[in-house]
Amino acid sequence: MLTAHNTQPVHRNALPALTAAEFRAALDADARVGALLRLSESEWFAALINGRDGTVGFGVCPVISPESDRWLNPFPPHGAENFHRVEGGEVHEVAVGPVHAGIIEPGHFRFQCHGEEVLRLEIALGYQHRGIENALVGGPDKRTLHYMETLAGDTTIGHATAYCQAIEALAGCRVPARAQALRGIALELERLANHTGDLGALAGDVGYLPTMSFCGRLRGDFLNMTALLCGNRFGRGLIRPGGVGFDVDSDRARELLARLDRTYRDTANAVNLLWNTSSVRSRFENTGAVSKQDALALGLVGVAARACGLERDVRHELPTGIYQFAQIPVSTYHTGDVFGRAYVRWMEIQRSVAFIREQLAALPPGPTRATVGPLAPNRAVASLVEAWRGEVCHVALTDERGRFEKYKVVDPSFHNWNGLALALRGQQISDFPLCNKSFNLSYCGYDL
Amino acid sequence: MLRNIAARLQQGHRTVPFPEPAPTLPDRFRGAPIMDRAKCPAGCRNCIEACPTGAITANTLDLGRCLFCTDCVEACPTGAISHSNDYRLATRRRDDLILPTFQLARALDEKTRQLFGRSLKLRQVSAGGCNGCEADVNVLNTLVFDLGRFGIQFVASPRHADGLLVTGPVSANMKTALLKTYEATPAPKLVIAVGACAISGGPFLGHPEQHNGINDLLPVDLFVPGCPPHPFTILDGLLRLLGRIETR
Repeated sequence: MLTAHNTQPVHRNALPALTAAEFRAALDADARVGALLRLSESEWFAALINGRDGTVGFGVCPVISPESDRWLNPFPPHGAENFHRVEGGEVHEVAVGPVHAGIIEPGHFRFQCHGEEVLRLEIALGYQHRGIENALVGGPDKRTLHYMETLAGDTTIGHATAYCQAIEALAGCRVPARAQALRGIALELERLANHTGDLGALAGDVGYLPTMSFCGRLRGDFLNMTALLCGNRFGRGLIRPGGVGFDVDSDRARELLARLDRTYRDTANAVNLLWNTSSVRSRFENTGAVSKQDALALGLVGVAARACGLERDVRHELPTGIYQFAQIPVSTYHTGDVFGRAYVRWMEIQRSVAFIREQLAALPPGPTRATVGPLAPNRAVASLVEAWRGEVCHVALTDERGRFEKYKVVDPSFHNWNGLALALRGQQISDFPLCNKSFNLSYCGYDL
Repeated sequence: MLRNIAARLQQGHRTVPFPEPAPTLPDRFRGAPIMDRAKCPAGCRNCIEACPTGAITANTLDLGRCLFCTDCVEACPTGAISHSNDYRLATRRRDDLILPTFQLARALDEKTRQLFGRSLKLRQVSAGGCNGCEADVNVLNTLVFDLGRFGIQFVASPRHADGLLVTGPVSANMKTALLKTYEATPAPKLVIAVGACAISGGPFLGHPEQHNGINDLLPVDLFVPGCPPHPFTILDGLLRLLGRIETR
């Protein structure tokens, strides 16, 4: 198990990956590393800075002791009877799931209610467990990339990029600039599709059907832009170790830009209806609020954290790839409620569109893929990517043969499910769908 | 109100006609792999070994396992493998998914079709799905695909349903819930498996934490392969099942 007691500072150099000792030292050496350790059980975690030409850190993240199994199901597993219960004559319990009313993944929600008011919500996950982390040990092999693409299928680009960065660091592979730019474009397209879909779904949850209908179509238009790049709406096959699987010639770039402009114009039109409709605002505002203090204590990440005013965005804090050269401002809001989470999404949509336009206008020339050699033995690497939900973190430890001894995945949902449970306290139970959608967390990304 | 009307005018009419004229798919869309075995060098096993799910053998290709990825294409030294642009891939039987004897889905028998042909209510169960298939099933409800115009609707309870549409490899932790949902659906009922996971386990094939799809657990009436299948592939399969599309 890696622990963090070494106080020797480490100079970050061009080492692609660190030994365990350097790994420990890196944890103590950099205050930002500590800031990114957003979980309370700090003895479980060490962090790594993977140097990049001795300048800025590559990625930081918690590492989990192999003997620990708490990461699988910290919530009561399927069939468990040990839910927290509130006693009282007028208190009642509501159980929802694992099969839900909509077309979504399975999970179980247990509410303790007084009338309409939710006193407490417990969330039981684990239904989606497919044994991915076990299967990754001994890799990489021919299935590894496909596991990454289906860890959380809606975050294919985010997880595949995090994995490829880890592999490339361990192999000492330099990814061509053109591939870095295309990865950035794909990551922002993934954000655009999901944020647009979420805003539509939020509109639907408060019964405002125009934006729901428009955004349902627009989300698909963004997915189809990813399909324009690689043939698959979710970006399967696009991110490959060493670069990207598909190049974009000037005709395709022009087509993408034209579609982006058209779709963005309609997205702005559809989303701005939300802010101009008082009935929507009154349902969004003050619903499911989480304080900045609680967000810090829970270690929220991504949209949910930024909606509480926390400036957490690894594209800004510890940028990798194209984000080292093209800055995207961090979008925050101060209310921590459904409105905040919705509005942060809208700000990010605007900034992602600007980023893609900028990248398409100046795509670096050159190859799109480099060869990835064998992985360095006995090394540890961490890789962070700001996917649409929040930071995706992958940690790989190699054994003496350069195979994965341990591979740990932390989806942003891991941090944020507790945020949803907290946001529901004191709310009307009828607001659960709205609050849930405003977080829109991954079940399979958590269960792995 | 005026803003809503103005927005409505700007957004326009977006429902796509289907099945005629045939939809336009991206030029890089990957339909069923086409293998020109005449080009295969003697003794070459590159694609068989590259396939992450073991979908390829010396003579066959199992679309039920295929992730429609590019691993076999990249591994092929002679360019013998490519992907077609054909989105029509659904079948009625598991064996029909195996190339070269692939057989597109035929309609339900006359009696069942009379029951469900003009109104089919489905309950969706995600049993270990990655949210890829779920998302592209859900998108059928948007105004682009407008599933309702075909008389098909997803309902909130198995009690209201004529069948289940299942995604995911059936994780061990979802088996009970899936079987209970099936039991709660009144007979006669249909079962539709969407995606490589639900058909064969997909990338998770062989993991002890899952059941390699629903084929050993429930009687399946329609298989829709893909990872995930394109929404048009799912829609085409549903309409073929109901006898609403009969052309090749």
